[in-house]
Amino acid sequence: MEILSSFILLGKGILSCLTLQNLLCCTIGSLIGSLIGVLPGIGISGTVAILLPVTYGFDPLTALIMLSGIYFGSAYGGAITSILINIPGEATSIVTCFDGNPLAKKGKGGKALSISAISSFLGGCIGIIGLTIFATMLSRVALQFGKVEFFAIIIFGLVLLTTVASKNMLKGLIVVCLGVLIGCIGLDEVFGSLRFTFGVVDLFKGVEFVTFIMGVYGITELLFAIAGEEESGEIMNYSKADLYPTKSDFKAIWKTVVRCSCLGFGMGLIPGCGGTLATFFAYGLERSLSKHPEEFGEGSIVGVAAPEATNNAAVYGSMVPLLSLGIPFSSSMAIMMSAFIVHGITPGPLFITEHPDLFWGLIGSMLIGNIILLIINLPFVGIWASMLKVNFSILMPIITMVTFAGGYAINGSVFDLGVMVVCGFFGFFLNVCGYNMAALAVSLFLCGTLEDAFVGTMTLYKGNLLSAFINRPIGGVIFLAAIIFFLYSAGKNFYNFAKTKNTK
Amino acid sequence: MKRIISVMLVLCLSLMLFAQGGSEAAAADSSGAWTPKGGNVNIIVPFGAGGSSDLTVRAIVNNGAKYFPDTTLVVENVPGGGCAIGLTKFVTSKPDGFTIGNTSTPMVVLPTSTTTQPYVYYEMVEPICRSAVSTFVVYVRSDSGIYNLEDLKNEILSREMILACNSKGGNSHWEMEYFAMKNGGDVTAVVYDGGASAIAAVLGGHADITVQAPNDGREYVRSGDLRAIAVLNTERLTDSVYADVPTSVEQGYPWLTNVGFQGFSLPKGTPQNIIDFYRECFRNALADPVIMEETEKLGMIPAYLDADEFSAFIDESVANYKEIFSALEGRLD
Repeated sequence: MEILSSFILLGKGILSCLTLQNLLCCTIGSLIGSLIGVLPGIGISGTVAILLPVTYGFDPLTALIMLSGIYFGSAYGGAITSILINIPGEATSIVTCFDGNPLAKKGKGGKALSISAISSFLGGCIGIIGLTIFATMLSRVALQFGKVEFFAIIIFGLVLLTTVASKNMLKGLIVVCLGVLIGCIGLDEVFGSLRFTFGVVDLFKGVEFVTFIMGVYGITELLFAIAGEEESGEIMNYSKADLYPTKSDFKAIWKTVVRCSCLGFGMGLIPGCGGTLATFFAYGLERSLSKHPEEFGEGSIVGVAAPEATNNAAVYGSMVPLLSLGIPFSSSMAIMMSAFIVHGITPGPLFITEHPDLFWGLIGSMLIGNIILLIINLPFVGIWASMLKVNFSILMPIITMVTFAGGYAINGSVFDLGVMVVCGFFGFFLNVCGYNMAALAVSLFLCGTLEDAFVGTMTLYKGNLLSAFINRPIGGVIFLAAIIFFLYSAGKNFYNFAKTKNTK
Repeated sequence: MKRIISVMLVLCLSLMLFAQGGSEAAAADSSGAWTPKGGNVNIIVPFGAGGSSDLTVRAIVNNGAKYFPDTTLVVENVPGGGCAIGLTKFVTSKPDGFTIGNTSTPMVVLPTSTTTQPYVYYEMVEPICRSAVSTFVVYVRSDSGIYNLEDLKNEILSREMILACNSKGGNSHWEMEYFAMKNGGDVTAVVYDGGASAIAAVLGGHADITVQAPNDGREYVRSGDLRAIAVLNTERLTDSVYADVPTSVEQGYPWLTNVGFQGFSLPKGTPQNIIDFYRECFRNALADPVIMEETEKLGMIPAYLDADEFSAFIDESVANYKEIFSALEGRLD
């Protein structure tokens, strides 16, 4: 009964959004969002932060609608760069590169884009349904995660990374450790001590994740182009028919989309890193369930649909603690929260009961934003895909320029550009040696939370990890699962290695 | 070979970018009036965008442009390390009048409470003014059975209490360590990455106590999830949510007060005429009723002090904190 009344309220919320002004703002928001989101380096939180002042003059609901348009628009824009030029804008769209970029290189960039738009849309819809039903019910879930649980989850995530992101587990393990080491650069968050900074003030803040990504993806790609590893100069050919998915494509992805959306929403409830880990988890899951696991990494449409459905659904999962408790667990959620505060709304435990009109209006606007995004982006697929028809020698310099501009825009710091270039060379050599960049980047991303959780666990349990896991059984079980998974993968890897050696 | 050469060329070209950076040797002329001549003036805020400290600075920047002639104020957020990163960046920047620092309590607390800070920030600034003060509130879960500091004291003495704090040695950490020590007990401090996460930890039962700014805990007191047991000041808060919350002084702990401050400074060595320019600007801006109202909305109390008074206030705070932290003897590290 309660669920039914939720949907009635959602209906009212959608209706309140359907004024000409709100629809216009939503459309403009999604359009600008996806255009800015395409620029590498700016990402979701950057885009929202840049465009936040634009909404100052509007009434709260209109402003929120525009912001959610911007938010989802930029999330979609991030997928465009992942697919077309192999530069992910956010941690959550790294996995989209795995299959999206190979598809684009095969001349099927258009199809990859429309698959990503459609799975994002469906993932978003399932996420919204989840938010409608569970917002109040699951509000306390995020609070159950303490330092011990976080530590266990991140360890599990890192183990997952060693196997999902690279074929050779040993190499995966090496890059994951390397990523954690790079993440240690700078002032540590807990004790304030300096590490690996050599007295350089600009290094105190550490290597920023987005700068790092732009380096190891953007600059590395450029270096590959120079080194001639790619078939440069070749003009991609594609036919109109290849732009949009066919019936059989839909048949191939619908189960994936539903599965991954549910997974994404569920894992999105884990504060902080849930969404990013969920994309890897979904990709690994789909690969093991697929009848053609060999296609993954070579340009499988399922490999694009899985992470895109997951990361969109995960956004709604992570909105649960923000809207029901007023606690933002990620930087993009923190910016959304400050946007709320600017408009005089303080999200807190009483937000849903005191401002039901705004809450349901916001959820309604998300649904409308998703629909508008799909409508305005599908026709653009052809335009974006035709970007690949541009001669490589013209496209590459433009990408370089945009990469540098984006790298500078993050903090307005020239030093960051240097970091980016160094990361680029670093990534280039690692890539040549067959190491996987995704595992490197994500382990860097997780490093801060890992350390925070580890130090917290150690403080709470006086340095006794065993007693921590006995006292917090959920964390203990996850940690145990991580160890078993690690040993299993290592054993399998070793077995395969021995087999190939014998056959030789 | 050709490929290697071209890779090297790209490297050289990108390195050239750095050669260009920062060498405008503007000879500082300390005689006569000074203005930035329309140039961008960065205000370094050592907190992330959207926090209450950031918003108080933005309230001045957004509403006070008319008080800063020939100046374009730009807010630069440099968060991390419990303000250490932003403060380091500020005190090591050039004293040419184009960088202003948003210098608040951590400037004094960080270098006096811990030994790991790269600089003694408060010695490296030219104060412009204090803009506002704020106070802190002690929160516990409402099902905890703790109603006042007396209950808290007994609880601390009878079992291990966990304190959720925002940074080691900073505000939100030392108060409860000091309270426990003075009463002959101890608390276990666990660091969270900000007020919201620390509150979430208390709500979720991972920690027992947290000390936060009134605005951060307000919604949870209203909803009945948290209980505010003490305001760490000599006066109660005017906000209706906190009107019934007694101060620590009322509860018989006059040594347990903590008044945070917000202010602005220039890097040490800035010529006097530049300092005078900003003193004038900020004096006018901070008297603006709109800015005062916005500041109050953010849970701060406007409390302007001019450069000399602010300087004396900083010295007083340093002496005060030093006394407390030397009594704590490394408990904060």
